[in-house]
Amino acid sequence: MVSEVLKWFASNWLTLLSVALTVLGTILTFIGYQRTRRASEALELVHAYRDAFRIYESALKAYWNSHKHGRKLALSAIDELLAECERYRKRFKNEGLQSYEWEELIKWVWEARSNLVSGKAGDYHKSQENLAYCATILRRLIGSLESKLDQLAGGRRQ
Amino acid sequence: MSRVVQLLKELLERTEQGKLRWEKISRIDYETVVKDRVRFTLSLVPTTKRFTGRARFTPDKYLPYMLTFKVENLTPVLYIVDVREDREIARISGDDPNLDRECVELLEDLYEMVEKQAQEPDLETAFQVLKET
Repeated sequence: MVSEVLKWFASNWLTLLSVALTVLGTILTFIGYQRTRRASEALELVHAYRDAFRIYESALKAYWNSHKHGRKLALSAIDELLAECERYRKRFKNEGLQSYEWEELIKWVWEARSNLVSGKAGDYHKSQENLAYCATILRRLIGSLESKLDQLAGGRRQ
Repeated sequence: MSRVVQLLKELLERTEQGKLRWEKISRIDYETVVKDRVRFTLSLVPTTKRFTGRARFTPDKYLPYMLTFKVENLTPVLYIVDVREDREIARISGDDPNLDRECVELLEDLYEMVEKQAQEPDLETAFQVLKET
């Protein structure tokens, strides 16, 4: 019996070797694919993280300029913020925030914009309040992206 | 004729005649202060209620302002503020359901004219200053 098996192996060793190599190749390809996928996912998240910081920066810029003498600068920062939000959503969809949170963010941005355009002394303070709400939502976006990056890197979720 | 129509017609006429110079304060906002007393500010706001359908609302230019969240178009809005008392006198928005068609059209025409005026270089002023020197 043993000799028969050995004989079979001796005559089919080439076939067996090719099957084993195919299986090994498939496993390695799968591992490679997984790693590439994780790497591209991480890269995508890093880009989203960078863009989220840009939006946050614009919100802060608008916040600090929400006064009588900085009105034009604040309006231009808000315009940048809106354009960056548009770009972010086009590229990363709802990554990092829920759809309703994005809507909320845009609502506050428009509220701040409207208060700045009106340009009354009391409205500057209101505009700052609106932008502070925006900044809170944007901190949430950054935090969510950070925790996703941590997960990808194998760390603990914050 | 309602007071709103009268006011818009007056603004339109004065802008057309060049008596009223509007200053561009951002990509979509324009402002003029009359006798340091009343400030008129023209802007655009997103709306879902009343569409203007004007060709000037080209998506490329106004895309960031027409964010995809239930917003399909933009409408002009005019803020009138008493500068001395720092009080809002009125806010005329193109999507106000109480506003009649004529007012909306006048408001749109005004925005269009102001936008065009702001794009034109102020050669007249430069010429005037040159002549004075």
